[in-house]
Order: sequence, then C-alpha cells, then structure tokens
Amino acid sequence: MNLRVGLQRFRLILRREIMVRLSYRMTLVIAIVSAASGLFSYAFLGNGAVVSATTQTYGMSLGAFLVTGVAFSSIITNGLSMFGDYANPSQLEEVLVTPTDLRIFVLCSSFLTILVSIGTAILLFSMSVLLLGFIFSYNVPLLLAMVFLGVTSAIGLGFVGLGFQLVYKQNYFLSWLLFSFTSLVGNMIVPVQVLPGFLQTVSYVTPQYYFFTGIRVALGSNVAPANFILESFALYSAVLLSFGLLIFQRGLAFIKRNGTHRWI
Amino acid sequence: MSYKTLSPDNFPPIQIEHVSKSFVRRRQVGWSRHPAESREVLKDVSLSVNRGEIVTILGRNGSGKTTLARILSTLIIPDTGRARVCGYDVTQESKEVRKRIGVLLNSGDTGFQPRLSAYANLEYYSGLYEIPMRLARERIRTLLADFDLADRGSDQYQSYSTGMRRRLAIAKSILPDPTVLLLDEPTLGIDPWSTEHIHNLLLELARRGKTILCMTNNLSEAKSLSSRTLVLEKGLLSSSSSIHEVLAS
Repeated sequence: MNLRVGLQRFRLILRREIMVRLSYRMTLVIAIVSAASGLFSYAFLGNGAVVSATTQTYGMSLGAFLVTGVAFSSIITNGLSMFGDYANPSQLEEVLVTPTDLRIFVLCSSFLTILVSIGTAILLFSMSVLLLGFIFSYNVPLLLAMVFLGVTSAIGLGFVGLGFQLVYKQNYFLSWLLFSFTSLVGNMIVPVQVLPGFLQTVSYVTPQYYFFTGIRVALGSNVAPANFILESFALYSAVLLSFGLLIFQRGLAFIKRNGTHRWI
Repeated sequence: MSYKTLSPDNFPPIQIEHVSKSFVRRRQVGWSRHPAESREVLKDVSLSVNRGEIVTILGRNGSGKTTLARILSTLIIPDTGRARVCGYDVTQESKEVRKRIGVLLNSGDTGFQPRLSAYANLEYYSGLYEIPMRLARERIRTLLADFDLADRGSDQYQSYSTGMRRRLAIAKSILPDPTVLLLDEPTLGIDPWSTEHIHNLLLELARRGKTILCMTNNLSEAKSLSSRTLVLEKGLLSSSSSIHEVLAS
C-alpha cells in the first residue's frame, strides 16, 4: 500500500473522530471533570475524619457506610438510562403514533428495570449482612419509605434524562452528574461531613444525598431524627418528578417542532 | 357551527388547510458551526380526502411527502395552518387522531424487536393500540395470513428479509383497524409480486371504507393504487388530478 494513501486515510479517519467529538464539546469537559472527581473522592475517603463522621453521624462503621452506599446505589442511579433505552430512535416514532402516552410507555417498559434495581439492592445488602457480617439496626418503615422515594426520584431523573436526550440526542452530562460528580458529593461513598463547606452545599442539591442519608438513618443506630430527612426527601422527590415531567414535555415539544425524532 | 359539536363522520377523514412547515438546519463547515437557517419544506398545502378514497402524493426525494405524513400522524406540528383527521386537530387533539390512524413510516426500521417473533411483535403493538386481547389475536392471525406471513409468524423478526419486514410493517399499520391509513413509501424494497398483492389488499381496504393517503415516488404505484394523484414539488402541492393528467404533465 502506498504510504501516502495510508497516511491520508489515517488523517481523514482521525479528523472525523475529532470533529464528531468536538461537536459534543460538553463530553470533553465532563471527561476531565469526572477524572478529577474520582481523584478527589478517594482523597477525601483517605481522610482520617471519615471514620468518626460515619460513627457519629450515622451510628455505623466506615465499612457499613460504604456497603450501604454500594448496595442501594442501583435504585437511584438507574433513573437516566432506564428511559433512554426505551425511547430510542426506532421506538420513539412508532410509539408516538399510537394512542399510548409516551410517559406511560416508558414507565411500563422500565417497570422491570425498577424491580431489578430494587432486587439488586436487596441481594447486595443481604450479602453484606449474611456473608460479610455487617450489623445494622433496622427502621423498616423508614427504609421502605426511602426506597419508594428513591424510585420516585429515579423516575424524575429518568424524565429529565429523556427530555435532554430528545433535545440534545445524548445525556452524557446528566450521566456524569449522576454517576461521577455525585459519587463525590452525593453521600454515596464519601460522607458529606468531611467535604469542604461549598461541596457540602452542592450535595444538598443532589437526590443521592437525601437517599443515602435516609438509608443510613434507617439502618444506623443512635442517629439523628428520621422525620427531617423523610420530609426533605419527600419534598425533593415531588419537586424532581414535577421538574422531570416539565423537562420531558419541553423535549417532546422540541422534537415535534423540529422533526428531530431520529438521531441515528 | 363549531367543530366540536359535529360528529367526526361529518368531516372528511383527512383535511389539511394552508399548512406550512419549515425546519431549522445547522450547517457544519470544517471545524465550526455556522448560524442556523430555515428551510421551508411545505408551502401552504391544502388537501381534503374523502372516505374510502385512496390519494397518492407523488414527489421526488425531499419534496416534503414524509413531512406531510408526519404532520398527519401527529409526530410534528405545522408552523401555520390546520390539519385534521376525522375532524380532530392533529396538534390540539393528537390522542383522538392517533386512535383513528394507522401509520407506516418510511424510516428503515419499524420499532420491531428483532429477537421476538412477528406474532409477538404485533401482539406488543396491539397493547399500544389498546386493542382487547382476544380481538388482537384474531386480527394478528388474519393479518399474517393476508400478508403471506402466516407460516413465518413464529419466526424471529431478525430472520426476515427486507420485503417480509416491510409487509409486517404494513400489517402493523392496519392492526388497529384505522379509519385513516397513512403510508409512506409502502412498497419500498418489496418485490413486484408482493407489491401487487399489497396493492390489492389496500384497494380492498378502501372498498371497505378506509381512507388511504399514500406517499410515494413510484409512478406505477400511484397509477395502480389511487383514484387521485397529487404532485408535491419543493413543498408545493399541485391541484388534484388523475394519474393520466400527471403523466401528461
């Protein structure tokens, strides 16, 4: 093969890749910030104050804190992808010409995903108790309420993600916000108490903060009153769900106006 | 008299009045994006289709046929003008419209799950069309037979040929027993024998009172199917004429 032709092919393929990636500029920013976010998460986790924060605030060891974060994360982090998968380009138009409301369609389609995420949480939590020997004290009504509110928040996030996907044809930004950035500030892995003040403030905006705090309150001992976190999360979930439905409606109106139902 | 006070039967199944539609398009030149500009796809289009009539919209690629079909199927909203199906406004009363239409989109794939059988795929759509289960099963069996797919009904969709997929897609559009059938390039990729068979089925549906609006760029399809053919050229719809007049022009 002619070297010049080979180099030209390489240049054109590379150029196309760069142009495509640059057309999603936010993705580039996100990749850099998520890497930094992971770095900071582990840096804060290594802080000596972490152990006392989990013991004093939630009445549980650092191990129990981490295990509950990982075990229950499936409930809250599945929100975005569960709707996006069902509203893919080949499905979207076909569903939109039927009498079935798209919201009902994505909810029905995602029902199994929601059940699986709850089942995963139960399985992982049971394993942490039965196999790893972690001991928790149980406030079952609060735990159930938190799971319900977690699912409600995930649905709200799902509608936000779907609205974004309809307009921008991707929801990397939201995925990043949910999976990477909030692993730092969402009280999932790193206790918010050891974060700098401004990051603690940011954590109050994330649904993960309320969800994981509520789960820890329900499973920890000698901790803060449950009512405040329950009421806060209930209010937050209602607002998030309403916001999600609003974003979704805006997204739907956008594609109906611009005819951009398809993107692949 | 107000539209709301009239029965849907009093309206032409399809009524389009002065509909225009523009799309904003982004241009990418080299590394940079240029400002968006607007392109008018439909220009003051008016059309009325009667019950039991098959009307063909004939036009080149990019002439606006698909946009017109997508407006009538409630997928996109017109910028100006009104479109009604059975008296219901496609923008304001889209759910009522969707209960009365069967749609075949010209988009390559048709929302079928590749690992499910044709029967299971149609059964799934019968749920979306809110068809009672017993009636749905009966209709699916009839449709699979009508479209010559009965012996392959339990095969996975992914094993179907292009022509079989298109036939199944047409069967799906008829599944809800719609008053109005909107077909965008119905016989695209189908062999001549199957095309003739499908045309006969569509003619039979029209005889039974179904209203069919068919978008095509195939002159012979327009000739064999429709009682009336209109030409859409750069967003402008010609006045109604017979296929012979179209051919002559």
